Formats: sequence, structure tokens, C-alpha cells
Amino acid sequence: MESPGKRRRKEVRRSHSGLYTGRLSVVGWMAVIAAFLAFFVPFIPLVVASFSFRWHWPAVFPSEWLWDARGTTPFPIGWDYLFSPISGMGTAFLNTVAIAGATSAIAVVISLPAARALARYRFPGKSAVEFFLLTPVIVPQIAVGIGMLLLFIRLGLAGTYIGIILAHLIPSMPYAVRILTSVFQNLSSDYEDQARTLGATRMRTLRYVVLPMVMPGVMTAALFAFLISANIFLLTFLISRGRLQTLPTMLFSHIEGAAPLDPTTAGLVLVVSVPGVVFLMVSDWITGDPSLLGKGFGGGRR
Amino acid sequence: MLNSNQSSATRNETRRGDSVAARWVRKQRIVRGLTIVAMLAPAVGTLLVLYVGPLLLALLQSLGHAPLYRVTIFPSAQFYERVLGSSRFWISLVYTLYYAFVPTIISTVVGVGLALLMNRRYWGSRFFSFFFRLPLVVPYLVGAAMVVALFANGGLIARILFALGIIEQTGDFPRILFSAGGYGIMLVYLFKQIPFTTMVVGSVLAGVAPEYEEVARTLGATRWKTFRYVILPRIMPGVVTSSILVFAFNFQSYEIPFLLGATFPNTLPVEALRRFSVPDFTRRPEAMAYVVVIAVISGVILFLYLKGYRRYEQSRGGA
Amino acid sequence: MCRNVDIVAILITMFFLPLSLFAGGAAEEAAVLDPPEEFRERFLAGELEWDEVITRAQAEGEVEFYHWGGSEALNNWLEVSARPDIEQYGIRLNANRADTGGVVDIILADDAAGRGLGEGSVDFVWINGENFRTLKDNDLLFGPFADKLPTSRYYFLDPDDPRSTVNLFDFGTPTELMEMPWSSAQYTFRVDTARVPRDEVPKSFAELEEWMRANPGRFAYVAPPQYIGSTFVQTVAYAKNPHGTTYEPFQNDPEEFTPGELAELLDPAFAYLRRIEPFLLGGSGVEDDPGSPLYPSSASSLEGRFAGGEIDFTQEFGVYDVDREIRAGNYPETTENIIFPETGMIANKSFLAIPSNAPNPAAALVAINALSTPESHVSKLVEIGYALGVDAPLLPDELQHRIEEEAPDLRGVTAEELSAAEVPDTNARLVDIIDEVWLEYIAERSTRPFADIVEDAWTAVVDR
Repeated sequence: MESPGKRRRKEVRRSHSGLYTGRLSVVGWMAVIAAFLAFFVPFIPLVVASFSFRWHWPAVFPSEWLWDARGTTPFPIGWDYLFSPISGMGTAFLNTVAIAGATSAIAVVISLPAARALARYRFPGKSAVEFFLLTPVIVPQIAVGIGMLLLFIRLGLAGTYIGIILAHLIPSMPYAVRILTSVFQNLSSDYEDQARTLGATRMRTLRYVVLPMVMPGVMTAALFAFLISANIFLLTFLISRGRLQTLPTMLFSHIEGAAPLDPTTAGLVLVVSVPGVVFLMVSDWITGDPSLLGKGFGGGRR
Repeated sequence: MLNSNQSSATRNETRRGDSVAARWVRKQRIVRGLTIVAMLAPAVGTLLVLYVGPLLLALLQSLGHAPLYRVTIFPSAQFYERVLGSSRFWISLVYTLYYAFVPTIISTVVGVGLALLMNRRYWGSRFFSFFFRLPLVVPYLVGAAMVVALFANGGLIARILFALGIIEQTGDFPRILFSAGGYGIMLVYLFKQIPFTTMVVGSVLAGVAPEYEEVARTLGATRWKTFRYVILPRIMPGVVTSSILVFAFNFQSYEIPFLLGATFPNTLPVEALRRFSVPDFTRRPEAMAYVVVIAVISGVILFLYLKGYRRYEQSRGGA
Repeated sequence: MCRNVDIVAILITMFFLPLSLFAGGAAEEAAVLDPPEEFRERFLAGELEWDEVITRAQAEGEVEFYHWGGSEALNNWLEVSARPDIEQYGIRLNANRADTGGVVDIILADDAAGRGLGEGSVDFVWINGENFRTLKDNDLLFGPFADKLPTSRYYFLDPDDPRSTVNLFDFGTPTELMEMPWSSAQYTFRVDTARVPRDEVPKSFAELEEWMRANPGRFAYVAPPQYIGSTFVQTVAYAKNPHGTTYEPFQNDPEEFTPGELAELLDPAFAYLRRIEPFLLGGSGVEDDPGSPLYPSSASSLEGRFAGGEIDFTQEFGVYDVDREIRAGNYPETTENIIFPETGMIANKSFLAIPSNAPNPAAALVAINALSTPESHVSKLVEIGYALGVDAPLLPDELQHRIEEEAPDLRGVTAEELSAAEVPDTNARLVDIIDEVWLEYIAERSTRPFADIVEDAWTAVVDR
């Protein structure tokens, strides 16, 4: 089956030509290779380390592997530890996905009407509202986080799922609002007007005309909010009070004390990267636009 | 607000008294206003409660209202005096700015360069772009783990140098992590932020490049001139957006300087959280003072930056 | 001014009213039981049979345990061994991994929010030292329960018996039976004998200094006030005590010294710490120029450097750790314990305490009792090398035999050497002063006279 993205990609391809958009020069190739080395190759030693048992200075390769040491250790180690219930990785994974899923859903639902209002209407104070909705991206999370912890303690929300989801809304909402606003801006109101003229009710217009047209944009916003939430460390660390672990908080405590090529930490890094990789694959499939990330994070036209 | 036909009609009607049409228009206007408010309320309300509220609470506490910690001396500047009066604060501020600015500058320059070089179709571009975007979608902590694995004094690169006989012991390898130089911190930032800037600038570039550039080249502009006078002004919004986000992040980041920085000195957020966990509770509001100062400084810097950018845009518009 | 806060709070409450109600609903479940306060009074007065406590614990149904989660070995043992021991009573164990200071925060915050017994979040916590003192000073402990548990017969708790001291004092703070000993630990250095030959291993701080000068950059200690760094500085202070009485003066409260006396007592130790700076990890290696010495921020960070080959020594509490960490692949196989026998190595106990706002107080008592049995302690020792919290002389013979046979290898030292070198902790408030002095004199490299620095730190702590 042809993905929705593939179709769009074909269209995009035809429009590209010119100096800064043409074929890759030799320097361009060198840049691509350098970038590949710098930004992907560092994952490889971690894959190796995750299967090692002893990899101490000054060994360039592990001296013992996980499968050699199995059964000789006082408790499970490396991947065995991570996948045993004791490590809590399974719970942390589920927590991460559940919290990110809820955050994403709530952020999108709350942002939809606001984005539509921002895209459709002109009203006094609009630019102030727009600015206000984007500020959480630049306000220090530590400032919000500590104050929020004190509030949540008072409300009994510290250390609860609800508290963490509420905290995660702050950094993820601005992206949802931004993406959805541009979706509604690109959506011509003609279709809606036509539908209404042809006698469709407001609800039916929304259901059969607006929704299908904004759906890809909504999906993108939801994906972004999910990704942002899944990667948050500090707010979770503060609000969870040790009662709930997510993948980032778990990774933090492992990195803190680990030797450079510690197998458990290395394995955990790979697991923590899973949501991001899934994000990339899903977003490429839906939109077919590899520059989506750039656009979502603030580049591109509104 | 409303279109001119309607509003002039409204004015005429009102003069003649409360006609049915006038009332209808006024009602429509109120309904419309209420609709907008209702549509904005959930988003604005959530943020007001969730992030303005906590900020205000931190402010209150920093001024001495912290019954939780048995401190009730509001209003008092005592905690600010203590924070701003200590040399450790100012040292931390210098390091925070240093760790924030250097990677912002590097990633902006390198990111723009990479965007220009790579923003085109090439064999395998989809394959490479997938891996090139990986750093963007993983937590900063993943970057930290990698930097430790590679650049620690007992890390993989040091081991390879040892095996090659270039260094004799871990101490000979340059100290990249856990030192005030902060190279480890900055490496993690660059690992995430160069691809980030590249993506953001690249997506702007994709929208502007072909047409303008063709015209400039036809008129005989050199490659550099085309970039300087045609491309750069048009990707400026992307450059500004990405550098603001990058700087704002670096300035307030906690986990990376905590994990990879020196024990002393370290950044303001690390100092703030360290103060938030002192066992002597009556000193906790110092952490709040730190937090407020962090928010203010970061706000001032971003404000000045945006103002500078506005002026640049105006000067361009005027020329 | 209170009003401002309240407006914010009301706003928030209005916004989240449904949520708060939802969260509040959980607190009502204990309605059929006696009020928790009444239970507490009757239990502490000795009016309740242990069976009645168990019955109530079963009705409470679960127990919230907070413990430092940095040890994979302990996490594993809690799942495999502690959980079944507690759950056999029909109580669900929720083991929360958190930093101990953070747990104290939770307890304090619950208290500030007006949550009393039966309403808080923490049932029992693994704790010692300053964190215990904070709870005690703020009157946030359940009460003197330790001697009322059935397992208390395996512990020396009689105040007249000198062997009880280690169970009744926690960093100089009297426990007043408000916490139950859970594990003991002795501070040791560990060295990789592949890197430092056995005949070169230092046996005192003077020899350590010589070794550091010969091998610059291969030693580090954690920055105080982190406990393991603080312990290093205390151990140096004992060794460099100008009166030659090692640990003795450090048992006293700060008020028993004039600032001048304290400065005199600490001066040689801090002179030593400054002298070794150039030869620490990251130091310049040259006399009188400290360079930029690295003080790792935590015990685990120190361990990471040791395993990574950057330094040749590490330090921690726990004499059996070496064996366990070798078997787990974390330490090189040639690692051994070393101690400085003449000036002493600090030994202490860590405890289980119940806060005054425990949501399930009976379950906390039953769980602590289950974790205080000799069998549980021996299993903790044998399986993961956590030294006994129970007092070995009080154990049945067959368990004593099992300990002798199955305890992990001490790797480089003997039990006799260890117990001969045992010295107590420093008074917790003196620790505060020493940490403050370290921060200013070492970390900040203050040039003020040493006596002034000590005096300021002394004043700050005494005035608190």
C-alpha cells in the first residue's frame, strides 16, 4: 500500500532544483558523512556495551560477554536485569507511554479550539495570547517545576499520574497550539462555507468537512506532544517524588553512577530511544515529510 | 474587528435607536466575543494555573512566605541578599552563560552550514536523514550517556588512544567531562542542537531557496553574495527561532550540567536544586530566589535578543 | 499575605476540584478500623497483642516503603526475598525507590498539608544520620516502637549495656527506639591490586599522601556534604586529631567547643586536605598549585571512575561490597578492601523508621518486623553482602554457623581487623560544621583565616 506520505513526497520532489537545492556536491557529501558519523555512529558502542559483561579499562573490546557470565552473577545483570521485573524498566516504559499518550491527547483537545480561534478570528490582544501560549517553551522548567511541586504537594497531586500529566502539558502544549494553528490557517474556509451553504449543519460540517482535512495536522500535533512528553526529565523527576519512574528518570539514575561502558546503562539508553524511533517512522509514514521535525519545532511557514 | 460594512451599518442603526438589526448585530458581536473566549479558555486557563501559578508561588516563597518550611517573614529580601551576595552565585552565573552561549553559537553556524549543504536531494538522502534526525527525538540524557561512553577519561576514545600508544594512562586524556570547562556538557548540547538547527533552518530554506536564488544568480551574484544578501535574510526567522529555543534550553538545563559538569562550580539550575535539597528547611527559600533569578535573567536575555532582531528587520525594511 | 497564597490555591482547587476529590477518595478506606491515633497510643502503651497488630495490618492491606534505589543488588533482594516475607501477612509491599532526602521532604510536606497519621504517603523508610535527625527534630516520627516488635529480642536495646550504643545512637542522635536497626556498615577503601601492588598499598593517611605524591591524579574523594565524602573528611579528622584521641572529641555537640578549640582540632586535617589537592584526580601534580581537582558528586560517581580505570582507589560503606561487585562484573577481579587500622574506620548502622503520618502504621510495624528477623538479615548478608543489622551474639547457634560459613569473602581483610579498627560516627551537628568548612576552605579555596571560617560555620550551626 502506498502511504499517504509517499504520494506527497512525489509531488514535493518535482519542485526541487537550483544552487542550494540541487544535487549534492563533494563538500555536501563530506558533510553528510561527517554528520552521519557524529550523530548516528555514537549509538554503536552502546549496542556493543549492552551485551558485554566485563569491559574495563583499557580494553577496546569487551573481555567477557553477557552470555558467558550468565548464572555466575549474584543477581541478573545487563539485559537480563533490565528485562526482569526487578529493574522496573517494564513499568517505566508503560508509565512513559501512558503519560505521554494522556498528555498528548489532553494537549491536543485543549489546543484545538484555541488554535482554531487564533487562526480564524482577529481580536484585541490576539498577539499577546499567541505569545503567552508559546512562552512555556522558553520559561525555565526548573522555575515552573519547583513551584509546581509545592502546589501539587498541597493538592495531593505530587507523585501521582495526574500530577505528572498536568506538568507535562506545559512544555507540550505550545507545540500543539503552534502546529494546529498553522493547520487551521492553511485550511481554506471556502469548503466549510460551501458545506454550510449546501445545508449541512454545523456538526455535520465539522464531522465530514473540517475533521478529515485537519486530521493529518492533528496527528502531527499529537505525535509531537507525545514525543516531548516521553523525553521530559526534570519535571517528572520533581513531581514524581520517586514514586513513579519513567524511562528518562530511570536513565538519569543509571548514568549518574555508571562506569563509561556499563552494560545496564547502555541497554537502557537503547530502550529509552525507542519512542523517538517510533515517532520518526510513524511521522514519516503519515506525512512523508522528513523536514517535519524542523517545521514542528519552529521552522517553516505558518 | 468586524468588516467595515457591518460596523458602519451598526453605527447608523444605533443612531436611529434600537432597531431590530442593530440589536441583532450587537448580539452577534457578543456571541462572537464569547465564542472566542470560550475557545481560548481551556488552553489559556491551563497554562495560567499550571505555570503562572507555580511561578508566582516561587516568587512568594523567595520573598519569605513559606509556611511549609516554617518561614513567614514576608516581605523580605533576605533570601535574595543571601543569594546575590554570595560569590558562588556569580561564578555560577558566568558558567551558566558560558555553557549556554558557546553551543548556541556553534550549533547555529554549523547548523546553517549543514542546512545549506544538505538541503537537497541526493542518493540515500532518506536513509541518512532518518539517522541524522535520531538525536532530535531522543532525550538529552541519551546524549549524555554517549558522551560518557566515548569521552570519559576511561571511555572508548581514551582506550583506543591507549591501545595505539598515544596515551599512557587515563590522566593523559584531556579532561572533557566533570570539569569546569564544560566540554562534555557542550558536546551533548551540540549532539542534539546541530541537527535541530539544521532541520529548522532547512525547512525554512526549502520554502524560499529556489526562486530567489535563481534570480540572484541570473543577475550575476557570486555564491557568497547570493547567500549573504538573498538567502540569509530569508532564513533569518528560522535562525532566530532555533537559536532562541537552543539558548533558552541551555540556560535552564539541569540534568546535563548535573551529570557532566564539575561538582563546583556548576550552573544556576544545579545550584538551585542543590539548595532545594538542603536538610535545613529554613534555607529552602534560597532555592526559590535562585529560581526567580534564573527566570528573570533568561527572560531579559531573550527579550534583548528579540529586540535586536526587530531592529535588524526594521533596518532591512528601511533600506 | 497569606491571602495571596490562598487565592492561588483556591483558583487551583477550583480548576482541579474533580481531581482533588478523586484523590481524596482514597483516604476514606480505613473507616472501619480504629482511628489511627488511638491505635498508635494503645500500641506504644503496650496494650495491643501482636496478633491484633497483624489483623489491623491486613485490613490496611498495603505498605509504602521508601528506600534508596541505587543498588541493583538490593532492589533484587527486596523483590526476591523481602517481598514474600512481607506479603505472607497479606500486606502488599510497594517499594518506592527514592533519594532519602527527598523522602524526608515528602513526609514534611504531608505534615505541612495537615496530613496526620493514616493520611500521609510514607509508611517506613530506610534512613540514618541527618535525615533521621531532621524527622526527629520536627517531631515527625511514629514513636518508640523498636522494643515492642517481637523480633526486638535479637537486638541489644538496653541502654545500660554498652553493646547497645550502636543501636541507640545514630550519628550521635539518640534514636529513642524510634527506628529499628536494619543493616550495619563499615567504611573501607578499596584498591585494585593489579594497579597498586600489595606492598605499596598505604596503611595510613601519611602513607596515602606519599603514595599520591608518587602517583599524582590517581586518587579522589567525593565532595561533602555527600555522606561518603563527608565520611572521608571525618576519617581524616580522626587521624589528624592533634590531641591523638582520634574519634573521641568528635562525639560531642558543637556547644562543647569554643570556635577556637574546634579550629585547633580541625586545622591539621584541613591542612592535609589542602596539601593533597595537587595530587588528586585532576590536580596539577605540582606542589602548591592545586590545579583543578575533581571532587565526584556522589558515591556512585566515584565508583564509576574507579571501574573506568581513572582512579585506583574507591571508598564506600559495606565490607562485603567488594565481593559482590566483583561477581557482578562492576569491579575488576583484583579489587580488595583496605583499612587504616591505627586511626580507625567509621562503622555505623542504618535503620528503618516510621514517620508520624504513615498511612498504614500497623502494616509498617508488621513489615519492619518481617524485615528484622534473623533469617531475613542472614539472607541479606549471604545473598547481597549487606552486613547484619541484628546483633550476632543474640542469634541462635545454627544461624551463627551459617553466617560463618556462607558470609561473602572479605577480600583482603579479616573480621578481626575490621572490628579492631571500628570507630563511631561524628556527631551529626559537627558534621554540618565540617561540611560547611570544607565547602568554603576547599571547594571555594577561601583565603580567609581558617579560624574565621570555622567560627562562622560554628555560629551558623549553633544558632539554628
